[in-house]
Amino acid sequence: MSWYEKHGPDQDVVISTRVRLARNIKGHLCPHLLDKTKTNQVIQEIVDGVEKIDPKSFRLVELESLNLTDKQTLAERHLISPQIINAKNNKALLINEEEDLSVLILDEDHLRIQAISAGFEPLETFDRANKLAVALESVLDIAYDPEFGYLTACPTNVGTGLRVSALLHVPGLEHSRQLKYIIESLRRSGFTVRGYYGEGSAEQGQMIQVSNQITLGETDQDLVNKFIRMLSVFIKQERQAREKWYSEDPIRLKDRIFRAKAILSEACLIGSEEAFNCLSYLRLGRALGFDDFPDYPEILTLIYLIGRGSIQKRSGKTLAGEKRDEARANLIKKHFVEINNSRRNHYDD
Amino acid sequence: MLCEKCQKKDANVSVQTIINGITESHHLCSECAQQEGLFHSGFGLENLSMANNIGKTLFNFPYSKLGHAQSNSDALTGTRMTCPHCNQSLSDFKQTGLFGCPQCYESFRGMIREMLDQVQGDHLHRDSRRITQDKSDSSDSPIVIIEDKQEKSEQTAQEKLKAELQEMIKQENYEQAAIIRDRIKELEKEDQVDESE
Repeated sequence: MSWYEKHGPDQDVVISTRVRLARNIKGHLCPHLLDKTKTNQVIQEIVDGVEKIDPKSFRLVELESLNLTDKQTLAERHLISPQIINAKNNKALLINEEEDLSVLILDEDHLRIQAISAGFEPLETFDRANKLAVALESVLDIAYDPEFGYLTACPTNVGTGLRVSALLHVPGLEHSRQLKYIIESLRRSGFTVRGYYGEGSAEQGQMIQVSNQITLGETDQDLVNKFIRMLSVFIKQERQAREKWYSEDPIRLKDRIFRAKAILSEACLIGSEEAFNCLSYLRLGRALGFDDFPDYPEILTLIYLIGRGSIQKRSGKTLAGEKRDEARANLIKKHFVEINNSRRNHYDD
Repeated sequence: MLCEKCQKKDANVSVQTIINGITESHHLCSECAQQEGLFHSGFGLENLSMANNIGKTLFNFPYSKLGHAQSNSDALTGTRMTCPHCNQSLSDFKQTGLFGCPQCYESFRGMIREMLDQVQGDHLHRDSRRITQDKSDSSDSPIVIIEDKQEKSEQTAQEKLKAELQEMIKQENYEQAAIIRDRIKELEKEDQVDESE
Protein backbone atom coordinates (compact mmCIF):
# COMPACT_ATOMS: atom_id res chain seq x y z
CA MET A 1 0.00 0.00 0.00
CA SER A 2 1.39 3.41 -0.97
CA TRP A 3 1.75 6.02 1.78
CA TYR A 4 -0.93 8.27 0.22
CA GLU A 5 -3.51 5.52 0.56
CA LYS A 6 -3.10 5.67 4.34
CA HIS A 7 -4.57 7.94 7.01
CA GLY A 8 -2.44 10.30 9.09
CA PRO A 9 -2.77 12.66 12.08
CA ASP A 10 -4.29 16.12 11.50
CA GLN A 11 -5.12 15.09 7.95
CA ASP A 12 -8.07 17.51 7.80
CA VAL A 13 -5.46 20.29 7.38
CA VAL A 14 -2.15 18.60 6.62
CA ILE A 15 -2.03 16.54 3.45
CA SER A 16 1.50 15.25 3.88
CA THR A 17 4.78 15.76 5.76
CA ARG A 18 8.14 15.41 4.05
CA VAL A 19 11.68 15.32 5.35
CA ARG A 20 14.78 15.42 3.22
CA LEU A 21 18.39 15.18 4.30
CA ALA A 22 21.05 16.43 1.89
CA ARG A 23 24.40 14.61 1.91
CA ASN A 24 27.51 14.56 -0.27
CA ILE A 25 30.40 12.17 -0.66
CA LYS A 26 33.94 13.31 0.03
CA GLY A 27 36.32 13.38 -2.90
CA HIS A 28 33.74 13.83 -5.65
CA LEU A 29 32.80 17.02 -7.46
CA CYS A 30 29.29 18.29 -6.84
CA PRO A 31 26.70 16.93 -9.30
CA HIS A 32 26.56 19.97 -11.59
CA LEU A 33 30.28 19.55 -12.40
CA LEU A 34 30.39 15.77 -12.93
CA ASP A 35 31.03 14.47 -16.42
CA LYS A 36 29.10 11.51 -17.83
CA THR A 37 31.56 8.85 -16.68
CA LYS A 38 31.86 10.26 -13.16
CA THR A 39 28.07 10.72 -12.98
CA ASN A 40 27.48 7.03 -13.56
CA GLN A 41 30.34 6.14 -11.21
CA VAL A 42 28.83 8.16 -8.34
CA ILE A 43 25.34 6.75 -8.99
CA GLN A 44 26.81 3.23 -8.84
CA GLU A 45 28.73 4.01 -5.63
CA ILE A 46 25.55 5.20 -3.91
CA VAL A 47 23.42 2.35 -5.25
CA ASP A 48 26.04 -0.13 -3.97
CA GLY A 49 26.08 1.65 -0.60
CA VAL A 50 22.32 1.45 -0.18
CA GLU A 51 22.37 -2.17 -1.27
CA LYS A 52 24.90 -2.99 1.45
CA ILE A 53 22.66 -1.69 4.23
CA ASP A 54 19.30 -2.67 2.73
CA PRO A 55 19.47 -5.00 -0.25
CA LYS A 56 15.73 -5.60 -0.62
CA SER A 57 13.66 -2.47 -0.02
CA PHE A 58 14.59 -0.23 -2.93
CA ARG A 59 14.17 -0.32 -6.66
CA LEU A 60 16.38 1.79 -8.90
CA VAL A 61 14.93 4.25 -11.39
CA GLU A 62 17.44 5.99 -13.67
CA LEU A 63 15.96 9.23 -14.94
CA GLU A 64 17.91 8.97 -18.19
CA SER A 65 15.88 5.92 -19.13
CA LEU A 66 12.50 7.60 -18.53
CA ASN A 67 10.38 9.56 -20.97
CA LEU A 68 9.00 13.01 -20.17
CA THR A 69 5.65 11.68 -18.94
CA ASP A 70 7.30 9.29 -16.48
CA LYS A 71 9.48 12.10 -15.12
CA GLN A 72 6.47 14.41 -14.79
CA THR A 73 4.67 11.71 -12.83
CA LEU A 74 7.60 11.46 -10.39
CA ALA A 75 7.57 15.25 -9.96
CA GLU A 76 3.80 15.26 -9.40
CA ARG A 77 4.36 12.80 -6.57
CA HIS A 78 7.07 15.04 -5.13
CA LEU A 79 9.75 12.39 -5.62
CA ILE A 80 11.89 14.59 -7.84
CA SER A 81 11.82 18.36 -8.21
CA PRO A 82 10.20 19.69 -11.42
CA GLN A 83 13.47 21.55 -12.14
CA ILE A 84 15.38 18.34 -12.86
CA ILE A 85 12.93 16.95 -15.44
CA ASN A 86 14.94 18.48 -18.27
CA ALA A 87 18.39 18.05 -16.71
CA LYS A 88 21.01 16.87 -19.19
CA ASN A 89 23.01 14.70 -16.78
CA ASN A 90 21.72 11.37 -15.55
CA LYS A 91 20.11 11.22 -12.11
CA ALA A 92 18.65 8.31 -10.23
CA LEU A 93 16.05 7.49 -7.64
CA LEU A 94 16.06 4.59 -5.23
CA ILE A 95 12.54 4.09 -3.97
CA ASN A 96 10.79 1.62 -1.70
CA GLU A 97 7.49 -0.10 -2.45
CA GLU A 98 5.33 2.21 -0.31
CA GLU A 99 7.02 5.21 -2.01
CA ASP A 100 7.51 6.76 1.43
CA LEU A 101 11.31 6.44 1.57
CA SER A 102 13.64 7.27 -1.28
CA VAL A 103 17.12 8.41 -2.15
CA LEU A 104 17.36 10.96 -4.94
CA ILE A 105 20.84 10.66 -6.43
CA LEU A 106 22.64 13.61 -8.07
CA ASP A 107 20.03 16.31 -7.81
CA GLU A 108 21.76 19.39 -6.39
CA ASP A 109 23.64 17.15 -3.93
CA HIS A 110 24.98 13.61 -4.31
CA LEU A 111 22.23 12.23 -2.09
CA ARG A 112 18.91 13.47 -0.89
CA ILE A 113 17.31 11.07 1.51
CA GLN A 114 13.57 11.66 1.42
CA ALA A 115 10.77 10.39 3.66
CA ILE A 116 7.11 11.23 3.37
CA SER A 117 4.00 10.49 5.46
CA ALA A 118 0.29 11.20 5.22
CA GLY A 119 -0.94 13.91 7.60
CA PHE A 120 1.22 15.76 10.11
CA GLU A 121 4.01 13.40 11.22
CA PRO A 122 7.28 15.38 11.42
CA LEU A 123 8.97 13.30 14.13
CA GLU A 124 8.23 9.89 12.68
CA THR A 125 9.09 11.07 9.16
CA PHE A 126 12.38 12.61 10.31
CA ASP A 127 13.19 9.45 12.20
CA ARG A 128 12.79 7.28 9.11
CA ALA A 129 14.92 9.57 6.93
CA ASN A 130 17.53 9.96 9.66
CA LYS A 131 17.89 6.21 10.24
CA LEU A 132 18.69 5.71 6.57
CA ALA A 133 21.08 8.69 6.58
CA VAL A 134 22.93 7.38 9.65
CA ALA A 135 23.15 3.89 8.16
CA LEU A 136 24.52 5.31 4.90
CA GLU A 137 27.28 7.06 6.82
CA SER A 138 28.63 3.65 7.75
CA VAL A 139 29.09 2.66 4.10
CA LEU A 140 29.72 5.97 2.32
CA ASP A 141 32.38 8.58 3.07
CA ILE A 142 29.92 11.41 3.77
CA ALA A 143 31.36 14.96 3.73
CA TYR A 144 31.09 16.35 7.26
CA ASP A 145 32.93 19.25 8.86
CA PRO A 146 32.94 19.76 12.65
CA GLU A 147 32.33 23.47 12.21
CA PHE A 148 29.87 23.53 9.31
CA GLY A 149 28.21 20.11 9.66
CA TYR A 150 27.07 18.19 6.57
CA LEU A 151 28.53 19.91 3.53
CA THR A 152 26.12 20.66 0.71
CA ALA A 153 26.50 22.14 -2.77
CA CYS A 154 24.44 25.17 -1.77
CA PRO A 155 25.26 26.94 1.50
CA THR A 156 21.55 27.35 2.24
CA ASN A 157 21.38 23.61 3.05
CA VAL A 158 24.64 23.15 4.97
CA GLY A 159 24.72 21.99 8.62
CA THR A 160 21.93 19.52 9.20
CA GLY A 161 21.03 19.29 5.49
CA LEU A 162 17.49 19.05 6.82
CA ARG A 163 14.40 20.33 5.15
CA VAL A 164 11.15 19.40 6.89
CA SER A 165 8.02 20.46 5.07
CA ALA A 166 4.27 20.07 5.25
CA LEU A 167 1.70 20.38 2.49
CA LEU A 168 -1.23 22.24 4.00
CA HIS A 169 -4.81 22.66 2.87
CA VAL A 170 -5.86 26.16 3.88
CA PRO A 171 -9.27 27.12 2.39
CA GLY A 172 -10.45 28.61 5.71
CA LEU A 173 -7.55 31.01 6.10
CA GLU A 174 -7.70 31.95 2.46
CA HIS A 175 -11.43 32.72 2.67
CA SER A 176 -10.99 34.82 5.81
CA ARG A 177 -8.14 36.69 4.09
CA GLN A 178 -5.84 35.91 7.00
CA LEU A 179 -3.60 33.69 4.88
CA LYS A 180 -1.28 36.39 3.59
CA TYR A 181 -0.67 37.71 7.12
CA ILE A 182 0.01 34.23 8.45
CA ILE A 183 2.36 33.51 5.54
CA GLU A 184 4.14 36.76 6.32
CA SER A 185 4.52 35.83 9.99
CA LEU A 186 5.77 32.35 9.06
CA ARG A 187 8.39 33.95 6.81
CA ARG A 188 9.48 36.30 9.55
CA SER A 189 9.88 33.32 11.88
CA GLY A 190 12.31 31.65 9.48
CA PHE A 191 9.99 29.45 7.46
CA THR A 192 9.67 29.24 3.70
CA VAL A 193 6.21 29.17 2.12
CA ARG A 194 5.83 27.85 -1.40
CA GLY A 195 3.16 26.68 -3.81
CA TYR A 196 2.05 23.07 -4.33
CA TYR A 197 4.92 22.05 -6.58
CA GLY A 198 7.60 23.72 -4.48
CA GLU A 199 10.13 26.33 -5.47
CA GLY A 200 8.73 28.95 -7.81
CA SER A 201 5.33 27.32 -8.23
CA ALA A 202 2.03 29.07 -7.69
CA GLU A 203 -0.35 28.25 -4.89
CA GLN A 204 -2.83 25.78 -6.29
CA GLY A 205 -6.10 24.44 -4.92
CA GLN A 206 -5.68 26.35 -1.66
CA MET A 207 -2.63 24.27 -0.86
CA ILE A 208 0.72 25.58 0.33
CA GLN A 209 4.00 24.06 1.42
CA VAL A 210 5.73 25.30 4.54
CA SER A 211 9.33 24.35 5.38
CA ASN A 212 12.24 25.44 7.57
CA GLN A 213 14.59 27.93 5.97
CA ILE A 214 17.54 27.72 8.34
CA THR A 215 19.48 24.45 8.31
CA LEU A 216 22.44 25.36 10.53
CA GLY A 217 23.00 26.55 14.10
CA GLU A 218 20.31 24.35 15.63
CA THR A 219 20.23 20.56 15.92
CA ASP A 220 18.08 18.61 13.50
CA GLN A 221 15.80 17.66 16.38
CA ASP A 222 15.41 21.27 17.51
CA LEU A 223 14.55 22.29 13.95
CA VAL A 224 11.88 19.58 13.75
CA ASN A 225 10.45 20.54 17.16
CA LYS A 226 10.33 24.21 16.21
CA PHE A 227 8.52 23.25 13.01
CA ILE A 228 5.98 21.22 15.01
CA ARG A 229 5.35 24.12 17.42
CA MET A 230 4.86 26.64 14.64
CA LEU A 231 2.69 24.41 12.45
CA SER A 232 0.49 23.28 15.36
CA VAL A 233 -0.61 26.87 15.82
CA PHE A 234 -1.20 27.20 12.09
CA ILE A 235 -3.35 24.03 12.01
CA LYS A 236 -5.53 25.35 14.84
CA GLN A 237 -5.96 28.69 13.08
CA GLU A 238 -7.08 26.95 9.89
CA ARG A 239 -9.64 24.88 11.82
CA GLN A 240 -11.00 27.97 13.56
CA ALA A 241 -11.29 29.82 10.25
CA ARG A 242 -13.26 26.92 8.74
CA GLU A 243 -15.61 26.75 11.73
CA LYS A 244 -16.20 30.48 11.58
CA TRP A 245 -16.89 30.34 7.84
CA TYR A 246 -19.34 27.48 8.22
CA SER A 247 -21.16 29.07 11.17
CA GLU A 248 -21.45 32.47 9.47
CA ASP A 249 -22.33 31.45 5.93
CA PRO A 250 -23.32 27.77 5.83
CA ILE A 251 -25.53 27.85 2.72
CA ARG A 252 -23.03 29.50 0.43
CA LEU A 253 -20.19 27.32 1.67
CA LYS A 254 -22.26 24.16 1.21
CA ASP A 255 -23.26 25.37 -2.24
CA ARG A 256 -19.60 25.69 -3.27
CA ILE A 257 -18.71 22.31 -1.85
CA PHE A 258 -21.62 20.44 -3.44
CA ARG A 259 -21.13 22.20 -6.77
CA ALA A 260 -17.50 21.07 -6.72
CA LYS A 261 -18.60 17.52 -6.00
CA ALA A 262 -21.13 17.67 -8.84
CA ILE A 263 -18.54 18.95 -11.31
CA LEU A 264 -16.09 16.21 -10.36
CA SER A 265 -18.69 13.45 -10.68
CA GLU A 266 -20.39 14.72 -13.84
CA ALA A 267 -18.00 16.85 -15.95
CA CYS A 268 -16.97 15.55 -19.38
CA LEU A 269 -13.97 17.89 -19.74
CA ILE A 270 -11.95 19.20 -16.84
CA GLY A 271 -8.61 21.05 -16.75
CA SER A 272 -6.10 20.39 -14.00
CA GLU A 273 -6.62 23.75 -12.31
CA GLU A 274 -10.40 23.36 -12.07
CA ALA A 275 -10.03 19.76 -10.92
CA PHE A 276 -7.57 20.84 -8.25
CA ASN A 277 -9.90 23.53 -6.96
CA CYS A 278 -12.90 21.19 -6.92
CA LEU A 279 -10.88 18.55 -5.05
CA SER A 280 -9.95 21.21 -2.54
CA TYR A 281 -13.65 21.88 -1.83
CA LEU A 282 -14.32 18.16 -1.76
CA ARG A 283 -11.65 17.85 0.93
CA LEU A 284 -13.21 20.67 2.88
CA GLY A 285 -16.59 18.90 2.66
CA ARG A 286 -14.97 15.77 4.06
CA ALA A 287 -13.41 17.80 6.90
CA LEU A 288 -16.79 19.33 7.74
CA GLY A 289 -18.18 15.81 8.03
CA PHE A 290 -20.62 15.78 5.10
CA ASP A 291 -22.10 12.40 4.26
CA ASP A 292 -20.95 10.38 1.28
CA PHE A 293 -17.81 12.39 0.66
CA PRO A 294 -14.68 10.49 -0.33
CA ASP A 295 -12.15 9.98 2.44
CA TYR A 296 -8.80 11.83 2.64
CA PRO A 297 -6.67 9.04 1.14
CA GLU A 298 -9.13 8.69 -1.73
CA ILE A 299 -8.97 12.42 -2.43
CA LEU A 300 -5.15 12.44 -2.25
CA THR A 301 -5.02 9.49 -4.63
CA LEU A 302 -7.18 11.49 -7.04
CA ILE A 303 -4.91 14.55 -6.68
CA TYR A 304 -1.97 12.38 -7.70
CA LEU A 305 -3.85 10.79 -10.59
CA ILE A 306 -5.04 13.96 -12.30
CA GLY A 307 -1.64 15.58 -12.89
CA ARG A 308 -0.59 16.11 -16.49
CA GLY A 309 2.09 13.40 -16.33
CA SER A 310 -0.02 10.86 -14.47
CA ILE A 311 -2.99 11.22 -16.86
CA GLN A 312 -0.79 10.59 -19.90
CA LYS A 313 1.12 7.78 -18.25
CA ARG A 314 -2.17 6.06 -17.50
CA SER A 315 -3.46 6.40 -21.05
CA GLY A 316 -0.12 5.24 -22.43
CA LYS A 317 0.21 8.08 -24.94
CA THR A 318 0.81 11.81 -25.22
CA LEU A 319 -2.49 13.69 -25.02
CA ALA A 320 -2.99 17.26 -26.17
CA GLY A 321 -5.20 19.86 -24.37
CA GLU A 322 -8.81 18.77 -24.72
CA LYS A 323 -8.05 15.06 -25.01
CA ARG A 324 -6.20 15.32 -21.71
CA ASP A 325 -9.11 17.16 -20.08
CA GLU A 326 -11.47 14.45 -21.32
CA ALA A 327 -9.24 11.66 -19.98
CA ARG A 328 -9.02 13.52 -16.64
CA ALA A 329 -12.82 13.92 -16.38
CA ASN A 330 -13.38 10.24 -17.22
CA LEU A 331 -10.80 9.13 -14.70
CA ILE A 332 -12.35 11.19 -11.90
CA LYS A 333 -15.87 9.97 -12.74
CA LYS A 334 -14.69 6.38 -12.76
CA HIS A 335 -13.08 6.86 -9.36
CA PHE A 336 -16.23 8.37 -7.92
CA VAL A 337 -18.17 5.30 -9.03
CA GLU A 338 -15.52 3.01 -7.52
CA ILE A 339 -15.47 4.98 -4.27
CA ASN A 340 -19.25 4.81 -4.00
CA ASN A 341 -19.25 1.10 -4.74
CA SER A 342 -16.66 0.26 -2.15
CA ARG A 343 -17.68 2.80 0.47
CA ARG A 344 -16.05 1.97 3.70
CA ASN A 345 -16.83 3.28 7.14
CA HIS A 346 -15.62 6.80 7.52
CA TYR A 347 -12.51 7.29 9.54
CA ASP A 348 -12.75 10.05 12.10
CA ASP A 349 -9.65 11.41 13.75
CA MET B 1 51.80 20.61 0.21
CA LEU B 2 52.61 22.79 3.23
CA CYS B 3 51.51 26.40 3.49
CA GLU B 4 54.37 28.51 2.17
CA LYS B 5 53.89 31.10 4.92
CA CYS B 6 53.51 29.18 8.19
CA GLN B 7 55.07 25.93 6.89
CA LYS B 8 52.82 24.07 9.33
CA LYS B 9 49.38 23.53 7.92
CA ASP B 10 48.38 22.00 4.61
CA ALA B 11 47.99 24.54 1.84
CA ASN B 12 44.39 24.52 0.72
CA VAL B 13 44.15 27.87 -1.02
CA SER B 14 45.84 28.48 -4.34
CA VAL B 15 46.43 32.09 -5.29
CA GLN B 16 47.45 33.23 -8.71
CA THR B 17 48.66 36.79 -9.06
CA ILE B 18 49.19 38.57 -12.33
CA ILE B 19 51.21 41.73 -11.80
CA ASN B 20 52.52 43.61 -14.82
CA GLY B 21 51.85 40.52 -16.87
CA ILE B 22 53.97 38.24 -14.64
CA THR B 23 52.02 35.29 -13.28
CA GLU B 24 52.94 33.79 -9.90
CA SER B 25 51.30 30.96 -7.97
CA HIS B 26 51.16 30.78 -4.16
CA HIS B 27 49.84 28.08 -1.89
CA LEU B 28 48.60 29.00 1.58
CA CYS B 29 46.46 27.54 4.36
CA SER B 30 43.10 29.25 4.80
CA GLU B 31 44.19 30.97 8.05
CA CYS B 32 47.30 32.52 6.50
CA ALA B 33 45.30 33.49 3.42
CA GLN B 34 42.92 35.32 5.69
CA GLN B 35 45.76 36.97 7.61
CA GLU B 36 47.19 38.13 4.32
CA GLY B 37 43.90 39.88 3.74
CA LEU B 38 43.26 37.81 0.64
CA PHE B 39 39.67 37.06 1.58
CA HIS B 40 38.96 40.64 2.40
CA SER B 41 40.69 42.39 -0.43
CA GLY B 42 39.77 39.65 -2.84
CA PHE B 43 36.14 39.09 -1.94
CA GLY B 44 34.80 42.29 -0.56
CA LEU B 45 33.36 40.94 2.67
CA GLU B 46 33.31 44.38 4.20
CA ASN B 47 30.61 45.10 1.65
CA LEU B 48 28.77 42.00 2.77
CA SER B 49 28.59 43.17 6.38
CA MET B 50 27.27 46.46 5.16
CA ALA B 51 24.74 44.63 3.06
CA ASN B 52 23.47 42.85 6.13
CA ASN B 53 22.71 46.15 7.77
CA ILE B 54 20.77 47.34 4.77
CA GLY B 55 18.32 44.51 4.61
CA LYS B 56 17.49 41.07 5.83
CA THR B 57 16.68 39.69 2.41
CA LEU B 58 19.75 37.55 2.57
CA PHE B 59 18.81 34.63 0.47
CA ASN B 60 20.08 36.05 -2.80
CA PHE B 61 21.85 39.13 -1.63
CA PRO B 62 25.27 37.91 -0.51
CA TYR B 63 25.82 36.05 -3.75
CA SER B 64 25.21 39.01 -6.00
CA LYS B 65 27.15 41.32 -3.70
CA LEU B 66 29.97 38.83 -3.50
CA GLY B 67 30.24 38.51 -7.24
CA HIS B 68 30.13 42.22 -7.77
CA ALA B 69 32.80 42.89 -5.18
CA GLN B 70 34.99 40.15 -6.52
CA SER B 71 34.88 41.23 -10.12
CA ASN B 72 35.94 44.72 -9.05
CA SER B 73 38.79 43.42 -6.97
CA ASP B 74 39.85 40.97 -9.67
CA ALA B 75 40.39 43.92 -11.92
CA LEU B 76 42.29 45.80 -9.24
CA THR B 77 44.60 43.12 -7.88
CA GLY B 78 44.51 40.36 -10.46
CA THR B 79 44.01 37.88 -7.65
CA ARG B 80 41.89 34.84 -8.28
CA MET B 81 41.51 32.22 -5.56
CA THR B 82 40.45 28.71 -6.47
CA CYS B 83 39.72 25.55 -4.53
CA PRO B 84 42.63 23.17 -5.20
CA HIS B 85 40.29 20.15 -5.23
CA CYS B 86 37.76 21.25 -7.84
CA ASN B 87 39.52 24.27 -9.33
CA GLN B 88 36.37 26.35 -8.93
CA SER B 89 36.63 29.99 -7.93
CA LEU B 90 34.22 32.10 -5.97
CA SER B 91 33.29 33.71 -9.23
CA ASP B 92 32.01 30.30 -10.39
CA PHE B 93 30.09 30.02 -7.13
CA LYS B 94 28.53 33.38 -7.81
CA GLN B 95 27.23 32.20 -11.15
CA THR B 96 25.67 28.93 -9.98
CA GLY B 97 25.09 29.52 -6.25
CA LEU B 98 26.71 26.09 -5.83
CA PHE B 99 30.13 25.05 -4.57
CA GLY B 100 32.22 22.84 -6.81
CA CYS B 101 32.96 20.18 -4.20
CA PRO B 102 32.53 19.59 -0.45
CA GLN B 103 36.21 20.57 0.07
CA CYS B 104 35.38 24.14 -1.02
CA TYR B 105 34.18 24.68 2.54
CA GLU B 106 37.73 24.00 3.73
CA SER B 107 39.35 26.08 0.98
CA PHE B 108 37.20 29.15 1.58
CA ARG B 109 36.57 28.59 5.29
CA GLY B 110 37.04 32.20 6.44
CA MET B 111 34.82 33.62 3.74
CA ILE B 112 32.19 30.92 4.21
CA ARG B 113 32.00 31.60 7.95
CA GLU B 114 31.04 35.19 7.27
CA MET B 115 28.68 34.26 4.46
CA LEU B 116 26.87 31.69 6.61
CA ASP B 117 26.44 34.26 9.35
CA GLN B 118 24.63 36.30 6.72
CA VAL B 119 22.63 33.53 5.07
CA GLN B 120 21.92 31.25 8.02
CA GLY B 121 22.44 33.62 10.95
CA ASP B 122 25.14 31.30 12.29
CA HIS B 123 28.12 29.26 11.10
CA LEU B 124 28.44 26.63 13.81
CA HIS B 125 26.72 23.33 13.24
CA ARG B 126 25.09 21.62 16.21
CA ASP B 127 25.00 17.87 15.88
CA SER B 128 22.29 16.30 18.03
CA ARG B 129 24.20 13.03 18.37
CA ARG B 130 27.43 14.69 19.45
CA ILE B 131 25.70 17.12 21.81
CA THR B 132 23.87 14.31 23.63
CA GLN B 133 27.22 12.59 24.04
CA ASP B 134 28.87 15.77 25.36
CA LYS B 135 26.13 16.36 27.92
CA SER B 136 26.62 12.91 29.40
CA ASP B 137 30.37 13.28 29.95
CA SER B 138 31.06 16.98 30.32
CA SER B 139 30.88 17.46 34.09
CA ASP B 140 34.18 19.35 34.06
CA SER B 141 33.54 21.47 31.00
CA PRO B 142 34.75 25.10 31.12
CA ILE B 143 31.18 26.42 31.12
CA VAL B 144 30.53 24.91 34.54
CA ILE B 145 33.66 26.54 35.93
CA ILE B 146 32.52 29.93 34.69
CA GLU B 147 29.14 29.44 36.31
CA ASP B 148 30.79 28.58 39.64
CA LYS B 149 32.82 31.76 39.55
CA GLN B 150 29.75 33.82 38.78
CA GLU B 151 30.37 36.49 41.39
CA LYS B 152 29.80 39.59 39.31
CA SER B 153 26.90 40.48 37.10
CA GLU B 154 25.39 38.20 34.46
CA GLN B 155 26.70 40.56 31.80
CA THR B 156 30.28 39.77 32.87
CA ALA B 157 29.63 36.05 32.56
CA GLN B 158 28.29 36.60 29.07
CA GLU B 159 31.33 38.63 28.11
CA LYS B 160 33.62 35.92 29.42
CA LEU B 161 31.71 33.30 27.50
CA LYS B 162 31.92 35.37 24.35
CA ALA B 163 35.70 35.69 24.77
CA GLU B 164 35.92 31.97 25.36
CA LEU B 165 33.80 31.33 22.28
CA GLN B 166 36.26 33.29 20.16
CA GLU B 167 39.14 31.34 21.70
CA MET B 168 37.45 28.00 20.94
CA ILE B 169 36.81 29.06 17.34
CA LYS B 170 40.46 30.08 17.05
CA GLN B 171 41.51 26.68 18.36
CA GLU B 172 39.03 25.08 15.94
CA ASN B 173 37.32 23.38 18.87
CA TYR B 174 33.90 23.76 17.27
CA GLU B 175 32.00 21.30 19.41
CA GLN B 176 32.95 23.18 22.58
CA ALA B 177 32.28 26.47 20.79
CA ALA B 178 28.76 25.33 19.94
CA ILE B 179 28.08 24.49 23.59
CA ILE B 180 29.36 27.88 24.73
CA ARG B 181 27.38 29.64 22.03
CA ASP B 182 24.21 27.90 23.29
CA ARG B 183 24.94 28.93 26.86
CA ILE B 184 25.28 32.56 25.72
CA LYS B 185 21.94 32.29 23.94
CA GLU B 186 20.36 30.85 27.10
CA LEU B 187 21.72 33.70 29.21
CA GLU B 188 20.45 36.25 26.70
CA LYS B 189 17.04 34.59 26.75
CA GLU B 190 17.01 34.68 30.59
CA ASP B 191 17.87 38.38 30.43
CA GLN B 192 14.97 39.04 28.10
CA VAL B 193 12.58 37.17 30.40
CA ASP B 194 13.87 39.12 33.41
CA GLU B 195 13.35 42.39 31.60
CA SER B 196 9.82 41.56 30.58
CA GLU B 197 8.84 40.55 34.10
